[in-house]
Amino acid sequence: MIYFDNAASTPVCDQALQAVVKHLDKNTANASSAHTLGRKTNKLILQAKAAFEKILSLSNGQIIFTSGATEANNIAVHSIYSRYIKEGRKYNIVTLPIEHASVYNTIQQYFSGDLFEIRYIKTNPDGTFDTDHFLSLIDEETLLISIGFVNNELGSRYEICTLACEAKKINPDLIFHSDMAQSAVKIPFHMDNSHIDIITLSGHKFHSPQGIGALIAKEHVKLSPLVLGGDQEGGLRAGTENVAFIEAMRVAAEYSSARLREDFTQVSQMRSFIEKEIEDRVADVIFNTPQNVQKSTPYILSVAFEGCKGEVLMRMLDEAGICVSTSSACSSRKGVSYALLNAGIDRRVAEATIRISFSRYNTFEECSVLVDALEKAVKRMRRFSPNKRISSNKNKKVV
Amino acid sequence: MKKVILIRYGEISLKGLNRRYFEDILKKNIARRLRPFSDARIKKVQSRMEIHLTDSDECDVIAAIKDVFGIAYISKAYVVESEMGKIEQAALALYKDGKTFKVETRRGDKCFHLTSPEISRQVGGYILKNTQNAKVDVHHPEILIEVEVRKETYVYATSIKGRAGLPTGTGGTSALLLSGGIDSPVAGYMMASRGVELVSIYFHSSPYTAEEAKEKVIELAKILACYAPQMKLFVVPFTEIQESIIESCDIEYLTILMRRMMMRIAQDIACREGALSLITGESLGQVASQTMQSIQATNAVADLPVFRPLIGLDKIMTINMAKEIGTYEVSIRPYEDCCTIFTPKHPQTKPTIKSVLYEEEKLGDYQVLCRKAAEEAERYQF
Repeated sequence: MIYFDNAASTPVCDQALQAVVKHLDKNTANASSAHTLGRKTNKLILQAKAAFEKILSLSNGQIIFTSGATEANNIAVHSIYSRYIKEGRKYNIVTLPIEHASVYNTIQQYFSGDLFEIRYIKTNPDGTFDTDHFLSLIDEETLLISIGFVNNELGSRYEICTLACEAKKINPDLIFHSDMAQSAVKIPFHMDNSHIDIITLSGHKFHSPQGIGALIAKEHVKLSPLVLGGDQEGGLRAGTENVAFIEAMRVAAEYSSARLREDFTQVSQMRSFIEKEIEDRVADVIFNTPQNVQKSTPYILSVAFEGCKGEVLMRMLDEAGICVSTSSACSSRKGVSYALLNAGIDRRVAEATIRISFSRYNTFEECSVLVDALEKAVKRMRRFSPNKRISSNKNKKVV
Repeated sequence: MKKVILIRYGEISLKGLNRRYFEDILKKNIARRLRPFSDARIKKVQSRMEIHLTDSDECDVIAAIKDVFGIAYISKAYVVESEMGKIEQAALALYKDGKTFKVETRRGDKCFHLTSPEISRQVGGYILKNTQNAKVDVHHPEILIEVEVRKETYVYATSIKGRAGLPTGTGGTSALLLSGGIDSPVAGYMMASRGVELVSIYFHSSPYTAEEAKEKVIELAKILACYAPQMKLFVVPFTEIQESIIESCDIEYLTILMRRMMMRIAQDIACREGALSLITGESLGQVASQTMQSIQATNAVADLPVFRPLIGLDKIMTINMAKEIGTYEVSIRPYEDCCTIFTPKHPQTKPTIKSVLYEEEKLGDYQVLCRKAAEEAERYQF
């Protein structure tokens, strides 16, 4: 299979795989055990934390290993909520309506009561937004801002450090949270230099196994546990630590971080190649991803084909041995993506959308195979569509 | 006092000389459901069946047979000699103190020395005498104790309603055009309740329709198979035919032409499987392909009789039935089937046979495509 669904999950790299095997083969101890082997295991967790501090340029932070970014986002939102609900004051939350479900739904779940107001940033169909509009939503009652570094469906990338800096000029007390599942060790980020307070990441988005992630917060952020029990992770996440996967995530992060620029360049070239090939060979295409490379990640390309259904294209490509997706894997079985609709994309364009997402393991040869298959699939779909055309869109590119 | 599970028939009791044929098939169907219960023994007795158990739990056995068509009521019963003392003791054993009750008697053995009302009165009196707080309520009793006096006497207090109808296998075999929607599983159920064995046929349009749509139909077929044992499902690859129609014919006729092709393929499979009829979930006027003109156009290609048990039903009634038989929750899963994904904006609602034939001719030798689709169908056995 040719795999272009890396925004959903990436293949585990050899280094991470070997780390898992090595750990499970040699080490059976619980990291909380007091004996030598237990202490040795615990040391691996501390080493992993130190490695992430280095990768993210973070000093004096808090790192909690979780089952993934969803859990980490939940802890982040839960922590803010539990601290401030006791005050009984009115607060507001500023976020994007196109955030990943683990942020979007969690914020709605926690902050839908009378005491809170959720202020959504109005986005353009490509996921970008006007900074002045964003800043106008912030006031002294803003408790939390949550903006992912990179949008998982559209691939839009935000000047997250500038946004946090400007936001804190208005309200220095607010907490700035950023879901970095799609950007961690893919796009440079230095936490100490930023005004961002909490970030979350997911191991399987950068070639470590599924089932491991992290919540990383600056020292001043008061966190509250979601899972109660033992005092692992400083009492903030009870349960025996998954040391094998923590090790794997460390190794994968170090490896990815070391070759970040190289990968970024390679993936950028592949995305450009595919974009150009699609433009040249397929008519009536709408690129949902921002066309300004400064405003998007090269790792994601969201594109709609007029007169087609994204889910059918996805299945046609699947039959040709190519994996892409229609939307976030976390909502791909629920019909049209809420994030695309919330971005202001026309429903029929959203229905015609597929997401192509890359990793360093993709090749130009695979990109060519993808474009060939895509061209064929779009032709077939259009030829046999009983109701041919869809409405025009501002981003439409007709070639 | 012997304890048995008593099975009473519905419509089978009305049968004349051929009653034994229906009873034998019912017994066979019940026996099939009782295979996991090695101690269960079925005995036929005068328009009744008894299930005798030594170890198995009665509730598990009742759960296993409650959906067998042909059974009107199932009861946990005592079987006693037809003597008043024994009948009274059995009735008392079924009574729970403090509840209101009523005794109803049917006297099959007309030689018995008391009449039905006399038996009821005497048994009721015995319960009142031997309990602290018993109270009779002839209109809305909390416990209805039923006494059936025959050669031996059955005494029982709780009757579970069966699905009635006729035993599966007594009504021949029919091919059901099963989509993923709400209607066709209900249509299949209704025909199965008339003793019909089902062969289900689903038309799959991969890659236009999702694998989940097929899995949904397999799940629906599994539910239907609880009522129609030994059911087979054929999943017919339909994409090539749909693409040919879209490419060659006026798009307004797409649905009607698809339906005609489906009928042909279903008939082909039906004949191979020994089915004598087709079943569809059509309800008059529900959608474009279910107007009288459209039904006439689809019906025209079928040599076998086509049964449409929902033709005059209101959608709400069908939905209620789907909920009752357990298919509704599966049917409403949001996966498009081959009909919905290819719906033209303005489908033809009043086609004439002449215009349909004109469009169909544009397809050339469609018989080859139909035969190929029928031959390439995947087969599932439930």
